[in-house]
Amino acid sequence: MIHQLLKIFKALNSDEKPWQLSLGLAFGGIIGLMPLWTPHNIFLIFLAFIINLNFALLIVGLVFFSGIAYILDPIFHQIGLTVLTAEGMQDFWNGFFSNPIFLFDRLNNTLVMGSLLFSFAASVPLFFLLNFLIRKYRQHIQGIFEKIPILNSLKIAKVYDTLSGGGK
Amino acid sequence: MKFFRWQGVIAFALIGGGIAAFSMLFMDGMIERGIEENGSQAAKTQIDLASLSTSLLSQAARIDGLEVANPNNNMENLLQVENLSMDIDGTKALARKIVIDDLQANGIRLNQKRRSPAKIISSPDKDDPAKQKSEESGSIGLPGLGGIDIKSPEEILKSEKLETLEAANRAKETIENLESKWKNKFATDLNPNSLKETQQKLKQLQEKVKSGGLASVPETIQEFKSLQKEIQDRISRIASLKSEFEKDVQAAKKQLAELKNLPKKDFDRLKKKYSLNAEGGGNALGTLIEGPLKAKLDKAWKAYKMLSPYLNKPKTPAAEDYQYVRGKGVDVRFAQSHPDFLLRHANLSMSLLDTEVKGELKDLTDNPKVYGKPAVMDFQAGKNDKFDSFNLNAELDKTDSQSKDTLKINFKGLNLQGIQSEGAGKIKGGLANIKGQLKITNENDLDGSFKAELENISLSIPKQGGNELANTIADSLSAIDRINITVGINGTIENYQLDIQSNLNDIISGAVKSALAGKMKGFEDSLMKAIQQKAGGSIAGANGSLSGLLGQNKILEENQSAYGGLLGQAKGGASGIKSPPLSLPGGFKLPF
Repeated sequence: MIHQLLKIFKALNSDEKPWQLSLGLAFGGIIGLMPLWTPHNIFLIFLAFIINLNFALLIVGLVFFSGIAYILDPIFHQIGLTVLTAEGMQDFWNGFFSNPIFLFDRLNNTLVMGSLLFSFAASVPLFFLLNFLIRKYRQHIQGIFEKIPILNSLKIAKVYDTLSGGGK
Repeated sequence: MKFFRWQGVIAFALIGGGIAAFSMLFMDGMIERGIEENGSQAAKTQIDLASLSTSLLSQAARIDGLEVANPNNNMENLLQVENLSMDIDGTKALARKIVIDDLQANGIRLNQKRRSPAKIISSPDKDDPAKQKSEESGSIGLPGLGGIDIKSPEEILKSEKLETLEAANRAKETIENLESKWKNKFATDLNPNSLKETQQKLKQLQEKVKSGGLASVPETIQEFKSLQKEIQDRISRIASLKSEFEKDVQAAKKQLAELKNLPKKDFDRLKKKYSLNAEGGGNALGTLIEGPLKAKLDKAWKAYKMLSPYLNKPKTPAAEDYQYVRGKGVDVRFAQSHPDFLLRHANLSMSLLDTEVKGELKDLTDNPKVYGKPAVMDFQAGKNDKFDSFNLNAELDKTDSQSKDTLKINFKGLNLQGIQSEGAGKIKGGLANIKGQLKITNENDLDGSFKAELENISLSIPKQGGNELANTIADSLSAIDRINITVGINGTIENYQLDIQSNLNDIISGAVKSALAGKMKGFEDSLMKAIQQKAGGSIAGANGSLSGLLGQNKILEENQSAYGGLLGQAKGGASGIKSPPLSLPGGFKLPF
């Protein structure tokens, strides 16, 4: 837990752009909220590898949102069931699932569909909110760490170094 | 700051490749364990695979040593297959559908002994020892003739309820209840204190008349009248009670009278059930065959019912059929052009009576309504050491809302030599022709008929010491050379009737007639005696209770007589006042 918190602080105090941090967390959220071993999730992991986002925050987000996913499981099921069994959409779904790729992707599963819709819908505001918060943090709070004399005088170099972003 | 980091592709490829290589190496083992664990849970019996290998490139799989344990006998395999090899449609597998284009199954064997006991997988039926026993006892053949022994009357009465005994106990209880009812009524309605009070009142009035003057005459007359009315009311109440009591006594007597005929009725019923008369012997074959045959059929229905849901899924399930499971969700199904499981064609090789029989299975699917074709299985074999020909055809037609499943069998020239059944002896020689068909409509309604003709039959049935009847029947059967048996099946899977007819009925009936003529007389006498002895005590008890009830009548009589006497006295007393000689003081009398 402490390790994860240190990672967050390290990332926040690093010279990475806010979008890299918030995109890392948002990706972690999307991947964590959905069942892990689905083809589209593996594609998202691939994207995470090639996009220059913060991978440490992605891992933190994945772990955190996997726990949230367990709590929200019945809600995901309900969303998925409502969408997949909606009378007006049956023609669309019949055409959609005539393509075996989507069945292979298990999009006809209520949990997969529900969590996919929920996580994508939630990830956009989450991304912008995190971006805003990181900017505010860097404007108002990051400097406080540098001004705390005890951190310097006690020369807990390693911790200070970690908290301040490793000298980056 | 770049948006992409292309070195990530290499990292992803390395990690992904590692995971893929690991899966490829261990995939066969994982699938094997998956089939064993999930298959065992779904089939409620242990499923073992000796080995499994898959080839992604050729889209094929091979299974060696498939064993499906018998859920009712963990030392037996219900089904055993030496090897299975199949070609799978890879493109359909992408859509999570299992489509087997071609399957080869060799060495199919049924009901084979296991080398090690199977694990017991919980099933409600296993807790029912009676059901398990009935299933295990399903050995078809000529059953042991020892079962025709006549039971002793004592043994019969241990297991049978006697109507006489129950009616006598009921009658005794009814009469005792009546007696207690009347005791209560007499205690309240015929209270001895009220008789004493009436007597006291009368005495007081009589005293008053003796001592009273002219002034109190009208008042005394009024009191006498009132007392007379009171006594008259009492007498009327007693008369009404008497009439009611008489009705109860008559009902009790009627109940006791009915008891007299019941021992005979019990005797007739038990005689019919346990004595082996000509009619009983006439259906002896039916009685002997029906039990084991039903046990076999029940086993077959159970397997059929277990498989049916997997072979008849609805076209599109209703929304309420989706049962949510946490962490797994539900797979919603849409209008399908293809079922989830399909076996297009299979070549089967089965071992029947140690002879290889080849067969074909076509179009087996979990959703025949979507696929639109019935599943057909056909086994055929030509002449060999064991039989002349064998033909088995099964069709599972569930393409319509009303399913029609058919099984046809034609077994010609089956060599019966050496077939042995525990207790029923051995068939020394003979041939059998078995033909028949069974239709199952809506997976429940049965309509079938099977005919077996046994020719040149030669039976060897061992003698049973002290069992005269069994030995007589065995002698009769040893002398015959031709047996015809027809079995009709009708009804539903849960409740079906077997109509078994055979020429053996006449043979057994004749043997029973001659063997039982003398034996049954002694049996009947001792049965009647045993019934009377068992029910006698209860009948005597019921009669004794009636005496107690009749004793209550005495109380009514006594009360009626006592009140009758009081009424007479009261009337006498009152009339004595009405016409008194008008007397004047000093002994003077008026002249008129």
